[in-house]
Amino acid sequence: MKYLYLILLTIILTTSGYAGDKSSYRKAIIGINYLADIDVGDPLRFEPGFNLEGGWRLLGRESSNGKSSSSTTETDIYLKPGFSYFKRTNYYTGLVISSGLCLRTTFKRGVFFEINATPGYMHKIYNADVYDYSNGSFSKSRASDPNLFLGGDINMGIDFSKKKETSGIGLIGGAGFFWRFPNNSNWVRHQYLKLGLTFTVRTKR
Amino acid sequence: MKKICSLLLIATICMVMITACSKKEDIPAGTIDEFYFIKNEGAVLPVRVAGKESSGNYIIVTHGGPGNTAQTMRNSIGLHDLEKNFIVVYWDQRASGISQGNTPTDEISIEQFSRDLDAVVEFVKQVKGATNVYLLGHSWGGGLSTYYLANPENGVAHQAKLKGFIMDAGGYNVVGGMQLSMQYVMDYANQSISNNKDKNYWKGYQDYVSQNPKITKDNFLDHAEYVKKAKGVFFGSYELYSSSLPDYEFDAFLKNFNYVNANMKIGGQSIFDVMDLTPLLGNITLPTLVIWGNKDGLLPVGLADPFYNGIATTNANKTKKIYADCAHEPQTEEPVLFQTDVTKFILDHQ
Repeated sequence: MKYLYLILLTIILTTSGYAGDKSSYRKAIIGINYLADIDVGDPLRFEPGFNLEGGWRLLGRESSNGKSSSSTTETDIYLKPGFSYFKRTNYYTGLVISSGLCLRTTFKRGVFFEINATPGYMHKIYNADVYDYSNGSFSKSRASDPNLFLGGDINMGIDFSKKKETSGIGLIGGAGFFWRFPNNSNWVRHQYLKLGLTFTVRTKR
Repeated sequence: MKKICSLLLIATICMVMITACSKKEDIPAGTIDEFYFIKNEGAVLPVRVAGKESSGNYIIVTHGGPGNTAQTMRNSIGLHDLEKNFIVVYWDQRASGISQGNTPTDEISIEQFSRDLDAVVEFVKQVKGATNVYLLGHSWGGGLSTYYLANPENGVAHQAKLKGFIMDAGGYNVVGGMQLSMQYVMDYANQSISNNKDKNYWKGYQDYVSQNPKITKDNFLDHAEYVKKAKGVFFGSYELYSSSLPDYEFDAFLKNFNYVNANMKIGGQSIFDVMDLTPLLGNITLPTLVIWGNKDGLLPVGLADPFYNGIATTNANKTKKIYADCAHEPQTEEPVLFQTDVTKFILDHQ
């Protein structure tokens, strides 16, 4: 329940800044993120993963209290296609193609908050030799599973290009969940930490 | 601002270091540690093959639950140390542990799992080239192995593929075993109440039993918690190895366990309602070692004699070992005894 409150709070905070003028910029974002997939069993484990994503801005607003980008709050909604990779040794490698929605609010000094909702497709490849048993004998094969992928995360970071009103790099970090389905008719939950670089492409209209 | 940047960078470096650490353990010369998946009738079963490469003796470990995993059993010192002399094969049953695929509930049956066990036996013989293969069935895995060996349809043919069977506190009679288990916990509860130890908790158990007089698929996990509290799973202290495990998903482990446990059937009915393989024991003629913990509260030691006496194996080829201060996990609680007894049994019947 507390997660729901956190998500609702983020939505309220970000959408409250959404009123304003149409953005004076064209913007897109590109991100590369390191993911630590946390397994809460005993012992606690962190499995590696990474994520590449682009963000195509669908809607953008600037607060009207400033004259230049360096003194406005920007709230944008992006369509975010992405690719993610998760590795679990001797289990499976997950390759994810996703297309999510992102709501990001960037404040005057470049600090931003964002919330992502990410549906996608996970292709699960088994990480060991697979022997297919049929009619009493074995043949070596490759095997994989299709899975649905549903995820979402909440992040904060800093966009160094905001004050300079140019394209540029930023840092991002956050946490999120994803679920894969099916695993014996169940959704399997993962939780992860995310840290990465975000690049904002910013051009004057 | 600088502080935020520094913190983010430090956090990134720490995260990369944590996840990049190699978890591979040292594998001594002359030993193997290999992973495979066996695809059988829609399920993908993980198999870990570890031990002394030059040994011709393979021990197939069939885990309990139903719905548990064999992968973590490798941390048990008694099992792990068998790898010094033999090759131990740890496999996860369908829909259990890190098995993959999407098994529907109608495939959660002892009949299907027995066919999967046969695929593992065939894998060890055909792919690994083993000639001496032994089954080791723990808890529910002992019940599954018993069915594999004793079922009238193909039990005899299955026994012909094997050199021996190690029955490790096995659940061949779930109905009778659960009755004994309730009695074990009730005795413990009465004793605790009379000794004024956790009085309220154990009075709560008495109330629970009056409302749940029979263990079913719906209340088995509740019951197992009471058994644990009554020292019926682990009686004393124990140590475990921290050997490397596959990078499992804990959430999948839990969900698989609940899924298989609630749905396991024999002849279309829940194992908790009808499973008693005692009438079939006479079909077993394979050399057999029976190991049981005297303080076992989950499948109490009262099950050991009927099994030992029920199988048709000659007296010269069967042995029974009861460990005094041990509950449901002999391989963990009495690792030295366990390893010694299993080693002797295998060397005597290779």
